[in-house]
Amino acid sequence: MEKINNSEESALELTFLMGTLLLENGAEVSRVMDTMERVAKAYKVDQVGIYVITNGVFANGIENGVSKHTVITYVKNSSIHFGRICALNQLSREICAGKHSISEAMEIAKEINNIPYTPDWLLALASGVGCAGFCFIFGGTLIDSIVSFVIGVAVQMFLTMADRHAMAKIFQNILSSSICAIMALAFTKFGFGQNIEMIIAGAVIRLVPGVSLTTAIRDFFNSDYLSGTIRLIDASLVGCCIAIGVGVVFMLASKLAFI
Amino acid sequence: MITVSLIFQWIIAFIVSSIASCAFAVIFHSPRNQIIPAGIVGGVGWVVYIILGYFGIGVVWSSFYATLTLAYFARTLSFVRKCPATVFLVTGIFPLVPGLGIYNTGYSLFMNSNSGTTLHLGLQTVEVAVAIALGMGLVLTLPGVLFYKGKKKT
Repeated sequence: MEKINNSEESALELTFLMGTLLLENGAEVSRVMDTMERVAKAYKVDQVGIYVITNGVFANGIENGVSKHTVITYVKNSSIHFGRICALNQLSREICAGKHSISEAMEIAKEINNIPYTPDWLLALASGVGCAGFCFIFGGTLIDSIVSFVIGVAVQMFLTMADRHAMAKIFQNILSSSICAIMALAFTKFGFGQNIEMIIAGAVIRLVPGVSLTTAIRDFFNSDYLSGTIRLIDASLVGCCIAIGVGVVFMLASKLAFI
Repeated sequence: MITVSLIFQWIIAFIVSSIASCAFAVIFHSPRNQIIPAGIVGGVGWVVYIILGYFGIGVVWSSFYATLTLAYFARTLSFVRKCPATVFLVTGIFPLVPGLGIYNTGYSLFMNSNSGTTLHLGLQTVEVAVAIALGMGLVLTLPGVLFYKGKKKT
């Protein structure tokens, strides 16, 4: 029998790696399957079977007649990284054009996996700017936007910390929307900002499930109903968590005669 | 009446929503050269939304048409810039996602004893989300020919 794990020259290994990476960084299911099939075809793999859902890759294949690879991977959908998705997309395009040997492509894929995340301070700044901007376009005044900026920075800092301590996603969302509401209440109580609903609407946008919603829609319209449902549950759950987090704070505040 | 000051307001809204969408592109680690186009897609969606709102079209339909427009832009951009459409779509829909609706529903749920109002607000939020979903889905299922007319297919 020939060597099975000759990872430097295995097209299947590369296919599986690229699929897993794509899924990890938040690509939709049809893109993952499409990419895997294309890469396998480009390197003339004898036979390959792929099944992908939101949080898992199941695939096996026959290469060079004898060697056989199987992969069953559980993927945690925690991080979204568009930069890596774009880079992998570019790599798969180049592979299809026949520009890379298998080991070259493997090197590039591993490099892509090491594309760094945006630094924390920049994330906090971006979150602040985004929240302030949305507060402004929803009809807030300039001071409202400044308050929203502060809340956006605080929420992002909380999210970064919560991620580091692997806090459950549901609690992350409830707590961070509570933080939005508490800070907004405190600021307006002391005279900063007039429209509390605009401030919160702006700040809450950081938590709104835009990515899950988009991916759910894409999955549904590609007939990947199972994956679409998982994403949709995610999106609606996050929406509910935000509503609950904000609502509870307001209820407590009114019980304590704070507002 | 469309006055100069109204148009000026719209331009401001476009610029601010573009900047805010750019910020969200940064949050999701978009590649550096795609951040500004992604932001512009967000701005376009929001401007369509407020212009339709100005002409008295309801929130749900405004969201629908705005999503149609921005999804079209996103798909065209994804062909031109050779980058998955998701990158532009996600940042583009952020201004339209019903953050205010979610907040109002949550507020009403805990502060308002009238559950009819809560239900109404919740349903309206869901309606907007469905409108966004349909708008986006419609554009995504269109055949690709409509987007790379005259350009080389990649």
